Amino acid sequence: MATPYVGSLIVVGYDIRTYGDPVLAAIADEVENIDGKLVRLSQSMLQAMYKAPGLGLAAPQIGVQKKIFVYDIDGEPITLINPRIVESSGEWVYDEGCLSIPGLYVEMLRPKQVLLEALDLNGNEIKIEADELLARLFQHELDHLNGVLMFDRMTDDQRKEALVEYRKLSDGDLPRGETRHIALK
Amino acid sequence: MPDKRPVVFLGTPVAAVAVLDAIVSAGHPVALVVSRADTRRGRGGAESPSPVKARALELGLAVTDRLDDLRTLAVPPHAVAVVVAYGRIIPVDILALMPMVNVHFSLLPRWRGAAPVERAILAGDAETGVCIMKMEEGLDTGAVYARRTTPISVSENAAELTQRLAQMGASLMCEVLAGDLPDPVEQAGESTYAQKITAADALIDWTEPTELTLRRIRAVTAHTFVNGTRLRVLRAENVGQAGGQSLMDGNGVVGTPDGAVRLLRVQPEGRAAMSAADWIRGLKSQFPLPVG
Repeated sequence: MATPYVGSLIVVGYDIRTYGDPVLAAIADEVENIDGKLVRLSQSMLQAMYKAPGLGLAAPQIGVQKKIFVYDIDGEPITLINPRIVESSGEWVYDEGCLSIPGLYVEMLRPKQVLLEALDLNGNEIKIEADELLARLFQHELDHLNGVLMFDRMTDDQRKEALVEYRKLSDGDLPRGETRHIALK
Repeated sequence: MPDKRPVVFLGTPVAAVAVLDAIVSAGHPVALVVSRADTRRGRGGAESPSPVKARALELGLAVTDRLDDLRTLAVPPHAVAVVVAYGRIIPVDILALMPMVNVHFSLLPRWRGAAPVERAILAGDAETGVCIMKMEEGLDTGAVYARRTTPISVSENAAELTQRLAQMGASLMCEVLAGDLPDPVEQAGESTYAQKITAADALIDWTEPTELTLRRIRAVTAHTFVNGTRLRVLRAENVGQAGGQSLMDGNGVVGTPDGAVRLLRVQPEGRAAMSAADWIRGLKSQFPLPVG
């Protein structure tokens, strides 16, 4: 009998696009109207994010080229629209993972704090000061909205190793749920 | 006060303790308690007595782990041997020494054998019960002195139901012992066998319907595997049509073909039981989720 894997068994809603899909390399469009359709999109994105599971998700990851992302770090789902990072400072290394590069975690050095400006679902302009994990999440989602993936941010040595490991993960040579971690170098 | 019928008691696990206690409280003299040999609990642990032996010692009763001691026992007149989950086959010549009655935790002839409570829950039986049965050579085939029925609650696990049946069996046994033994009635109807619980019975298969998975979790110490390590699922609930969830959504919900199950209490391999929420919190810190 095969070992059962506890994970999502039923696929509903959107599939998450993975590395190689051109939508992940495109720059998303600014959101013009915050309407019911956008609210439904944010709900679908949250559903896909929880199912994955991940801490955050940007619209291009489900094939929608719009500047919107969702996240939930401590139990509260949040949607941000047309975000931009207006300040950043410090340095922080984090073992960063991406739902569009499943199973691969890469240690990356990025700013530790950022100040993000965006619109919420009511159209209000908001500012969030973020540190460490939340700051990293913001930078990662912003990259998705600009067509940038972790591979574009790795050092050359990391990218070489990461592509080899990711091939193993995506070809199914490794069991489902397996992860590979690429150290900073 | 009229003399109470003397009793020889044979039993081993905690479920048998309730019956022994009731017999002693009812004032029956207990000539001897026979329990299975002490077992070693845990790795390198000291030998510990069976629950029945421990209780018999507390009550100051004569106790042995050798069935052979019955052959040399001066059996008091009118004595009856009460057998509750003793855990060994009793040889025919010992059965012949005195009348022996057994408490069985099912509505015989349904679920004869080793795991009647677990099998009744697994099969989704709406009710079960206890039978006071005459011991004979065959496995749980003896004629029945008394029986009592009870519904199985959908929130009850095997340990809880066993404890409840033990209480029922204890009071029913005392009623039977109070007077002359009534004429037993032969078992009638379709018999089924409660096979011992196997490793396959204890493995959760998430492609099975919600109902069956929840029954399995109630009936046995069910487990599943998460990232290659065993996780015992001690308690779970039906959360209805919430398909498409995964375990790591933060709520411990697992999708099934017809709905979803929420884990409530779990025991990871080599660790103490804990709430599913605590377990998931630990898992998340161990395996960071992708940021996006």
